[in-house]
Amino acid sequence: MSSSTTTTPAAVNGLATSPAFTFSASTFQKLHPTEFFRNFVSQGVRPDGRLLSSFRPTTVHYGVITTANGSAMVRIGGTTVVCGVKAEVAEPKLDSPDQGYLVPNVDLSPICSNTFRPGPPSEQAQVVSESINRVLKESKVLDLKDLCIEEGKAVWALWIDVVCVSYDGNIYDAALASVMAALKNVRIRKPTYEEGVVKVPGGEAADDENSFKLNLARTPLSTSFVLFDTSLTLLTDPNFAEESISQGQISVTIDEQGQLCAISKVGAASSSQTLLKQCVERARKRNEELRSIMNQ
Amino acid sequence: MPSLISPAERDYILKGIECNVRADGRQRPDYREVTIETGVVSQTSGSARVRIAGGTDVLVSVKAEIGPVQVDPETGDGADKGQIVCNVECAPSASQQFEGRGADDLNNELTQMMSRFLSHNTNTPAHKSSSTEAGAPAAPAGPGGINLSKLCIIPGQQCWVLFVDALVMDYGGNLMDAIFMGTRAAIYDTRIPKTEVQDLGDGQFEFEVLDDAEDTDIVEGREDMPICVTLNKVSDHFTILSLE
Amino acid sequence: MDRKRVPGPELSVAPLVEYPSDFKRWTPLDEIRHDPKRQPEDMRPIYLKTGLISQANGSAYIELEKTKLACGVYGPRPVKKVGQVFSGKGVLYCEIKFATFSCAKRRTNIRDPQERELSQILSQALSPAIQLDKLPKSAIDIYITVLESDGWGSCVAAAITAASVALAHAGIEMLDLVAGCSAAYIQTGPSISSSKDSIAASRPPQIFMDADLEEEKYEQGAIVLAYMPSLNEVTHVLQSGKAEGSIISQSVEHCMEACNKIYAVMHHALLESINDNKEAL
Repeated sequence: MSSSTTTTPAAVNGLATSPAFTFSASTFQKLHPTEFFRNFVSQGVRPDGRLLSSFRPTTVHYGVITTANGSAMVRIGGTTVVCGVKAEVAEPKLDSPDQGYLVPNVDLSPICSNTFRPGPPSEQAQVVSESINRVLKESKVLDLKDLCIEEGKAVWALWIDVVCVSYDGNIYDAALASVMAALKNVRIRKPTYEEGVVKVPGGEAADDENSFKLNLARTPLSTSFVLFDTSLTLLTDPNFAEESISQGQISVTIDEQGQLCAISKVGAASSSQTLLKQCVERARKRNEELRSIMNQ
Repeated sequence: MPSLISPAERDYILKGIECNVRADGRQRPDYREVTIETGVVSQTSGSARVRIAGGTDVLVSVKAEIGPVQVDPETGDGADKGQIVCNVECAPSASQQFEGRGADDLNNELTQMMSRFLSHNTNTPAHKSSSTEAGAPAAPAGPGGINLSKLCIIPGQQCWVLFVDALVMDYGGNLMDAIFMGTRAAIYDTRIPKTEVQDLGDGQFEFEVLDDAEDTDIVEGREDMPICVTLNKVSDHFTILSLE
Repeated sequence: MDRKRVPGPELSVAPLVEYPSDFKRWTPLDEIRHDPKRQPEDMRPIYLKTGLISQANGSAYIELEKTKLACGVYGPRPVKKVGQVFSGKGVLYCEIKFATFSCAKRRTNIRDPQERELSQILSQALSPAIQLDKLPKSAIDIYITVLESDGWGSCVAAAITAASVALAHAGIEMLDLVAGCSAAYIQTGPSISSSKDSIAASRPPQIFMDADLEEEKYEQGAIVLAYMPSLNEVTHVLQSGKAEGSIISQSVEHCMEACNKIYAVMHHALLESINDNKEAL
């Protein structure tokens, strides 16, 4: 937060001569968050010093949790998510005897922000979980037949759980990136099926000999924007404060070939075709950048 | 338990304790009178009722049932052990503060506490015998004293499960001691039917529960069961010591 | 059925692990610790950092090798719970949550008795240090997420340590920081496999500070101690399993010593957060 901006409400109202009260930038932000933002956006910057189209620093760490089959931690600015994948054995569904399960769930627990309450998942968490579920299923990220152990008897169920440790906006991008990174990191011991019991070799560290990796057909990653103000200015990678004053949100999910996997837009603001095109364009650029971070 | 103590009363109690006289006439290290009755509930395998003069009243019952053994998939531990399942419940009538869901936290705390002492499996698999290493001796008794291996009927398949349920009927302080005394007494009172195991070959076993009320087993290790003495440090905090 | 989460199969189990016959598992017979670099009195190195959670009033992240947990403190803020009557004292609410992937066996999302008990232990260990009577009508909420657990005792101890650092980071007035430390009593050496009479019984168990999961499997008992180093006062002791009185008092002393070391780490982490703030300004 740049502390140098001291704004007088008088100046805002156009009454130049009234030195009666002035207050600090942070107070002004609390009183008039939208007005505060508008002042910045009109200058083409954001309060945290970013340009309208720039992203927060992003890092990806693999294999942070040893008790999981695959895991990753993704940080986008102040947002930190940890994803762990656990492989367990389950009976397949009757209508798909050779297909395993992919079960992604996002947990927005009260630890990460004071807007979340303890208890069952909030609406926001349900929306994010379901969006990720749809991207995984409908983009056919993983052939569920790869998860078959014995047809009709046993398959792998991959429990993909995302825990948000710190919430500062743009949870969807962070969660999807962590899910994809964790799936890349998954190693499952090669199972043997015998009379209703699934056994896996223990002991030695997992290597190519005794375990397998997942064969991901594609890795969709998303980029989110918010629409600010009646001018519908696009703000890329919104943080918590920006999300809370936005008019609407657009997420664009693209895979490594540049094919669109999903676009979602929520909120009351209407958006034109050009705006969407602009989003897709920016998303493509961001996608490459994020991919290079993930492949480091 | 009085819900409110006035400053004058509080002062009276504190000063009294300083002079080694407590409000009910006891000296500091004195225990209240304890009454224990066993065999109070006829439908159980063993039961006991503990009353501490001044209000605390706890009923503990033990029910032995047959269930499958629980094996740790990672280490294969627990295949030759019975189980003890504990539960503590405070009756809403025992104290005003137990009304509604008010006792939930206390129930949970006491249940976990009891499980930790009796079966030690709230956190880790039960006490590990060195079964895989060099000709293991009889597994040493678990921390609760009870020999869990003796509760096993067919290793890897069936065992006795002892359900220990404590019901707090009246609350007059010092619950923990009363529950421990009651549990020890109830386990002492417990009789488990004898079983006969038949080997059918091929690793198949069958067993029969003998229906003879006279010829029953006691719970082995019952004399090693812990009891507990609670000490309160009067001023701002307290310590709880449990002695075996 | 849980309609608020993406549904998975109704029943799923971890596969049976089959160890090769020549696989050697650590046992106390080896007379060394599971991590051979550690002596019985050695703790695992602690990594402690504040300010990980941007939205929280105070936060801390602690890592003892594989044990990892994050703690966020919100408050003091007005009591929001419905039906709560006026209280002249502040309310301390603790909640520990294990991530589903934090243990060898997958945990469910439902809050289990162990988590509820740990939450109570935590609030009992911390409340003597917080001056709750100075915060009427307000609540302090402490949330802890265990990302990975390598040993039950070390997890509780780390939670206590992290929570008190997070409280300090939130600027909540305390009498002292509370450091948490755990130890396990483990019978080492060959006596365990020889006959269990006189020799075995007379040999006292070793006190392993900050035992990990593998070591906990062999423990006869364990202790978790919460201690305020500069006041020299113990706020919570949790002793389980059986051991002689002398071993217990010895382990309490060991734990207090270790807490003093942890205290230095806590201090360092808090000082660092102040320096970071200065730089940011």
